Amino acid sequence: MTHISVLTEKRISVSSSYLAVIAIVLSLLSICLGIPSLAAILAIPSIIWGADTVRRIASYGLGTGVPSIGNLSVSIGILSSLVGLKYSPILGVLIAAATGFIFGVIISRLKILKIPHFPRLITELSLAGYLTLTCLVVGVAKTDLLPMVFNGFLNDDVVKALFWTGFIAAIYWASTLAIFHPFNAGLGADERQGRTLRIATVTSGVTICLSGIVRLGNAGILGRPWMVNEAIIMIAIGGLIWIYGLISLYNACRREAASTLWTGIPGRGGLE
Amino acid sequence: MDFLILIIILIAIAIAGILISIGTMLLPIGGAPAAMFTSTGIATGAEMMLTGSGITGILMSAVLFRENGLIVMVNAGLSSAIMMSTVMLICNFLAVYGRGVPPALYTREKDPITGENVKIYITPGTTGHGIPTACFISGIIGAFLGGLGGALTFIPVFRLLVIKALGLTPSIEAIFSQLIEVSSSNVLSSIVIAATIALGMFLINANITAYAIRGVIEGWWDPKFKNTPRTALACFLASIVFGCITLLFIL
Repeated sequence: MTHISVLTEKRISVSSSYLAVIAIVLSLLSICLGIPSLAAILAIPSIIWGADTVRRIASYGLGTGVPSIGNLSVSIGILSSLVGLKYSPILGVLIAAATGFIFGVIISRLKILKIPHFPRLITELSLAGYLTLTCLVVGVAKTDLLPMVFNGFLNDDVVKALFWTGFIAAIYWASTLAIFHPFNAGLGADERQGRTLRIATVTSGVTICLSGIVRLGNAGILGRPWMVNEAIIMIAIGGLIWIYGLISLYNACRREAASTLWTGIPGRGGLE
Repeated sequence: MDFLILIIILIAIAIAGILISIGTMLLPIGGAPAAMFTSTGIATGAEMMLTGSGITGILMSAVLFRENGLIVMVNAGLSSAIMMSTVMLICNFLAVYGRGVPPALYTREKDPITGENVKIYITPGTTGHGIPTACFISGIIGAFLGGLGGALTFIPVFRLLVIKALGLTPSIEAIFSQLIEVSSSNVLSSIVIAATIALGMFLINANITAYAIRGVIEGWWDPKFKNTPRTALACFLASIVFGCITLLFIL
């Protein structure tokens, strides 16, 4: 009967608070340091945190599919990220947390979604969306290497790079996909946190690679050749993370699928 | 900037939230069961449909950025309704000619619009299929209201951004009437920022409503439609919260 306990018990390899602390510290630090390639690469902890939070919310059953919660997270994230980019990244974090919490209280008080600890979960989700989006925006559009702690960076060049070209839409949907896809792909009876977070590694690699390509385009549009270097770093590291994630996911799936617990035929089909 | 103008913009955004919420409730959302033609409605989830109709409405209002506010809103609503009725028509073609099932309602014995008896066509074990006349009309009204709401979010945000960028004096007339002496190259970034904000607000309101629906809804006669006041209140409050952030960004 040990097999059944393996199937039913939900194994959690990383606790959510640990992921939250790592994501907030690393991603916020990278935004404040203001080095574009570093910021884009350190979006990984936020994406993994967001995927883990989506996993915890959506396992209760939303009724409308997992993509909706990813859309919601990045929609709250983009509104607070605009404020964060204009004034200060730290103000943006505070606003994302506050609006996420107020939103959660409104939804759970009016009994629209009956999920335990909903305000806390949606706060985590909006913070993860905010951090992911801001990291990628800094990676895509920042034209200098100055740190930004109490100042925003929405100058003319950045507005041109993000909004004139419409690249903000690509970043928006790429972050949405990176956050919701892991659980959407991994959900099922035998879902496990480790495997879902491995898919999150793959999606973050894809997202970083895409941001690198967007930065390459921005280097041409703004006429700043030195931006190409960081774009190439982002594409290369994003590609490496993508390949690493795929290999590690493949290995995990092979390892876990090798122990066949039941052939699927009721009655006489079981393994003796 | 004048305090009264900010309040009016906030109220416009909150009314847009209510319109989007009611519009979503009126759409015939079928979800995954409708993709197998075992349920009435359009064969996809709420947020994909709403993203389609919302983006259509916001694009239309971005194209007509110079026009009078009322014209923009009606055009955005009409474009969303045209988009959604094309989707419903194709869905019906697939159901009738592809799968061979007639459109049929589940929650009513008779179609509320045409009065014909549609429940007898249901395949046993399913909850209706295709999009009957009443669902079609409900969907057109819902998409119209959704597009109206999207445009009502877009216009004040966009006009306020333009007024800030060009250094004009803000007033209610400048926000809702025609813009004449503005060239499109000056307002390009304002259009994209306003469209991004409007899309974010649209998706937040649409998702609140999608969670209240939880899956499948047929139209205004569905029992789930009774949740509308509660959902509209939630959308109103959420729109005010996010409207405050938007105003903080613009100022």
